[in-house]
Amino acid sequence: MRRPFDPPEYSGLAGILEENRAALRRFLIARTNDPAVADDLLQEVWIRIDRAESVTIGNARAYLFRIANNLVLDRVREERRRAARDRAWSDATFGTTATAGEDVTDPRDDAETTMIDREEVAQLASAIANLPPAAGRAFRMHKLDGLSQAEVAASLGISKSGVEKHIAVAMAHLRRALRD
Amino acid sequence: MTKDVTESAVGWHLASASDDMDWDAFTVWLEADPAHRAAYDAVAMDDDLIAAHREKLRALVSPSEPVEQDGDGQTASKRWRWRVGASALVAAALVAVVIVPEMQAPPAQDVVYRSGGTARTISLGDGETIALAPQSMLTAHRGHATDLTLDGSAYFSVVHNPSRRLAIHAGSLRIEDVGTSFDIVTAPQSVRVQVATGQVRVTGDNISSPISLGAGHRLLATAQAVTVRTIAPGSVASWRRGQLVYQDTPITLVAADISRYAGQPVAVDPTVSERRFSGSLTIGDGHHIADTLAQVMGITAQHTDHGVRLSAHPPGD
Repeated sequence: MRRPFDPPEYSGLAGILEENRAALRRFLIARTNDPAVADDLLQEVWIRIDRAESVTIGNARAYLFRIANNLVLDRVREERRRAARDRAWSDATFGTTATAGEDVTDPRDDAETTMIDREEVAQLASAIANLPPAAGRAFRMHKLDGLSQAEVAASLGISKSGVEKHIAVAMAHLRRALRD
Repeated sequence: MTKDVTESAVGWHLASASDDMDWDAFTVWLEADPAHRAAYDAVAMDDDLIAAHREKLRALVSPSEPVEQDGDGQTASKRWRWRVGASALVAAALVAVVIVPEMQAPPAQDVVYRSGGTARTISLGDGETIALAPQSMLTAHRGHATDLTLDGSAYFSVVHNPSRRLAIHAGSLRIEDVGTSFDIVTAPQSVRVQVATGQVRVTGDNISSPISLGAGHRLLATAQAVTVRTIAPGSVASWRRGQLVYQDTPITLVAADISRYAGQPVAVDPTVSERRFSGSLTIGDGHHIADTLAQVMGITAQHTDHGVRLSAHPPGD
């Protein structure tokens, strides 16, 4: 077991991270616009691969970038949830000083989260219903019905790249619809 | 012809899953304009939402029946629309939910959680669960779940989240965490942190540079020194399983800790205050813990109206 103060061994995945540290850092700064956050997340990538069991990874460099990107997305997701919750805050229900022995769970979890979810779902459903027909069909089969892009292509009698284009068109439409 | 930012963002997002994604070109695109970063995040979050609500969306967005046919028998493209019953319900529920009274601003004052004779569990949301041992107090500064002060003993179980830094002030220490499970016990003059899974970052009065404390380790900060050592698995928050497990722990911390379960103060006489204890005590109903401790350590436990006092055996015994 590695003690907290042992210097890390730079081999395998860790070695590849070190080789690409500057590129990963630049990427993380481009993603977050915050060098301090970027450094934190880079450290997090380190911790992640430190814990990872040895796995056959096709392209190690790409794997590291994916981890880094997912960490940023986790962060973005959390920021959005927090912003949504702050808008819906009710201090009447948060953290009453209960009497001894009472269990108090945070009621925010249930009320506000469900409300935000329902809004989002309705907006999304509406946007999906209004997609152009061909793109919408491919999108629904892949994203909602869970068919692989290959299966969608076979089912619709089009090429895989055709399916990819449909998905891209659909997502662009959804983005514009949700923005307005 | 320049591609629309949204379309580019979608393209990058869809490409990011594959092994031949050009991360360097993506970096350059992100750097070109802050709008690119925002657009990309938005698209990624859309995808997130779709995945998260897949089942509900599937139910809401279904084909209309029957399929319409135009003059020469060709099937018109199916028009996908909301299934009437379910969607009307959702819409109605939505309206009821969206029209809410003006929400008040978050509290500016501290929020305090106290336990009395029994432990209690506090859920601060976002996968942050705290088991507060008896006779302990946790303060959330200005109501923030990420800025806490602990007086007593608690077990923290925090879901990993790189965007959330949980900071806990405990005695002279400041413990920072992103996602782990660990316990903290404070006592007059000492603080102990034990990590079960993950890692925490500890800073404090007697600590010159931050210490990273990993799983299976404990940090003990006393007035004299800060030490780190390994601990047996199952030591962490053993109180939750009715056991108090200590490894080379100052008697003063042990006494303060067992006070919680004994239901009365356990004081330590100067004649034994430098001693340390290693061992496991069963909590039971709490009445006998101090006696057991005294027995194992070869010291005396005097019971008075004010509690229990641990001291050396009187000379001549």
